[in-house]
Amino acid sequence: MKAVVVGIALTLLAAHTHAKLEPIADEELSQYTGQAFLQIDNNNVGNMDFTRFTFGMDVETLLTSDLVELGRYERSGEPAGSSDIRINDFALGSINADGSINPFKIRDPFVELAYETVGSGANAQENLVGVRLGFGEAFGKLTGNIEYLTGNIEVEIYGKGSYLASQMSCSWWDLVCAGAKGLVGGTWANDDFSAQAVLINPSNGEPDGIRATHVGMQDGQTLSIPNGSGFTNFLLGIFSSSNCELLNVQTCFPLSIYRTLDIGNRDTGAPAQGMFMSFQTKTVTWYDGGNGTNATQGAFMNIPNGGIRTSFQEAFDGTERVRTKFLDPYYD
Amino acid sequence: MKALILSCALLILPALALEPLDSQALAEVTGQGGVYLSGDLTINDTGGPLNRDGPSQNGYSWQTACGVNTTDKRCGGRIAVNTDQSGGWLVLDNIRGRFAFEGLTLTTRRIDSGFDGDGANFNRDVMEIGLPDQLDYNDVSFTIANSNAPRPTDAGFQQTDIMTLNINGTVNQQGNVLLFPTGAP
Amino acid sequence: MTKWLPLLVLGCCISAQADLVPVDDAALGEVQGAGLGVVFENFAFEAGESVSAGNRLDISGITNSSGQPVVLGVSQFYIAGSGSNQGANVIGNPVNLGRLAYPFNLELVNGDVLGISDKAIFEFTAPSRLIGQSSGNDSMLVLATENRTERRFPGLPVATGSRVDRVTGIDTSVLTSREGERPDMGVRFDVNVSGTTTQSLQSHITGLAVDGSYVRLWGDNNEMIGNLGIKAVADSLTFFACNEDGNNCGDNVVFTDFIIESELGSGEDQPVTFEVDASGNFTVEVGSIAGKSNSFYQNYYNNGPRTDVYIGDVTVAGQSFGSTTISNLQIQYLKATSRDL
Repeated sequence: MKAVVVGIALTLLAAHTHAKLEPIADEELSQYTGQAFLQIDNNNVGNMDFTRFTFGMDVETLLTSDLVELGRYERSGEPAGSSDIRINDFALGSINADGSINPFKIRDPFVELAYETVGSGANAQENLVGVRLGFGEAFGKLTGNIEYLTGNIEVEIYGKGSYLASQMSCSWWDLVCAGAKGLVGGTWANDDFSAQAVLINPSNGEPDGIRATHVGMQDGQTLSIPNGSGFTNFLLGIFSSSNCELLNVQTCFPLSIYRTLDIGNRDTGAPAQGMFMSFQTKTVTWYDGGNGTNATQGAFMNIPNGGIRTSFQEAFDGTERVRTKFLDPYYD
Repeated sequence: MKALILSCALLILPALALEPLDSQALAEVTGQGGVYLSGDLTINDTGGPLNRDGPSQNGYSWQTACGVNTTDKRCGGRIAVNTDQSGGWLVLDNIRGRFAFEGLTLTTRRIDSGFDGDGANFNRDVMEIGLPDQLDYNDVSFTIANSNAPRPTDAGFQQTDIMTLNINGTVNQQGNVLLFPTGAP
Repeated sequence: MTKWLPLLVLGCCISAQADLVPVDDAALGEVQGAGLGVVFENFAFEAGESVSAGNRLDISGITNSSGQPVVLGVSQFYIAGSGSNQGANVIGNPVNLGRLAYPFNLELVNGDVLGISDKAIFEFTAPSRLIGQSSGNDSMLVLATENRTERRFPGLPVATGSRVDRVTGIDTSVLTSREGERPDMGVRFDVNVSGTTTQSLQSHITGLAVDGSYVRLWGDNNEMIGNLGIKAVADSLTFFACNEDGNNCGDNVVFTDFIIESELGSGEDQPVTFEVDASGNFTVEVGSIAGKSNSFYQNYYNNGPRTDVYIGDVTVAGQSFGSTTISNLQIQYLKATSRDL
């Protein structure tokens, strides 16, 4: 027993644990500040109540996981054995060529609960209908082989007209296409085009955020030149994506070719805001700064507009998986 | 503060007198009967004596109202712990309240049966702490905080309070805590 | 009685000695392993009950984003034997926590045993785990693997090795806590903003076991560092909301077969630290593993600390939302620093 007594005391000594009791002087009292490390907010929208726990934290990390699979159950209209979200060899953050860590950064993570009030008066019942883990800000590389994704992913695609034209293959008889290709590759060759892509059903070009395997331009979506004139954008507006095709350019792509996604704007360093993962027992509208996001039943991932930007070239070719382990099966 | 100083004194005495017993001495100790304990610990319930009689010179103005509900930090005790010599301090601050229990028992007991078959194999002595049925808390509270210095009187003192835990009323419990040596001493 | 006195005095000497002198590593290295087993016999615990009678257990000093005071109140917290009926049957329904053969244990361990050379490690462990009959190790999860077939980019070589594909079973032979030694536990809490409580949330756990969990602490470079293992299994976790009076409760959200096995830090190579800085903010860090040797990495990725989370099924009002799996998650670096919101 001797060893224990002496030993435990020693451990604490080694760790320099000091404990002191002292009086407090009056003039020093002003140095106390309350820290808002944890904030709890209650909000009410219609018959929904929300309680949000926000943690004032700056987090940086490099982590990898063999499998992230949320909500594996049979869902009508979806393949047997599929899941709401399934990502293999998932990672946040990356490793630079010089062996240093390029961490994934998160600011102010929060957990939020959603309650629905059913009935009224004395019989009003509170149902817990949703929970989400959100990030005030997120920035960095998200890597993985995405097999299924349920949610709202808004991708901004940008690039020069010259590159876009190179992807257009017009039939000899299609004069409209040929004319457009001439414009895109000529007059607008050095202009920056932009397009919005969402989770999509590749067979019809309709948006489909449930167990999606593809991302692309939904039917009716047009290209635009953000810095272009109204007339330019009017002309572009004539051509819209239909059935995953715009001016003979393919506009839908399998998610699996995007092996690493940049969360946030990698050019300006601006983080993505409003990213969250959630689970709902029914469709719940989550609110962030007045903007509502409809989340469908089951597991759900939200990456709002501007959260992911990718070039046309990356959209067509896919993105290369970055190194996420010091001994990486994709590299070594 | 009175109670704290008192309890500190109690703590210091055995600590200074703490000397390991050699194995010989331990072997000669035999378990006898038991001990029945009741306790009532009050920490700065209405502020300490310094708040009433403390010095007022040199800026140490201690005269303040320390009623049960006041949150004035001069009224409670403080413990600061440091886990990194060059870092800041983790603080339990403004510790106040009254804690009482009745019927905590201490005894040694031989276990050689029961425990779903574990007892027979065990066949040794344990120290049994019989937990009191009730713990009474009377406005016990403390604040968890981080500070750049152990004492509020240190130069450049800064502290950020994170949250305060309050306990009032009765905690019910039952059972025994059994303690016994393990490993190879 | 006298025999145990040194133990009781322990807490005292910790708080009493104000000017502590560090002990050199050589002295610490000589410590022999000897520990203190702890078993809770016929144990039940209940706090915060009878709020109407003035009982309270709450956390204040928190605000919402508008700066209004928020109080997180706990209206009941309990630990009891199985069949507690969500906290209705606590006192009189006790449970044994820990076994005489597999107790909770406080021990000063020779670090060489744990691969932390020349250190005395203060270790607190829950009842230990055994090697599972079907999992083949001390994990409760029986895993199926698949070979990698992807490339990092078209035209580049196919990735090597295999990874977890899915959880195919749960191996309870890993646990040393037996069926009757897995308690029920629960908490009812409500959020009060500026004096108004809107709804309360209850969570109840049945068949809980924390076998295999550990905390290891030691000192190095004038700093306390540690490794953590959090391992918990529960037959069910039930969540539901009620109105502010705790009545008219809504549908149960039930997690069945909830398992978390999380190891943070790997000896001295990946220390876990908790620090407070001069501005009053704190930092929790799981050390970076950058700049180590190839053999370290090989061992780290094959046998290093990992986290697995599995929920067998989530059901809400009779509807199933299936299983959830996060497997072989490895934290190669994590630093979380608090900041004022």
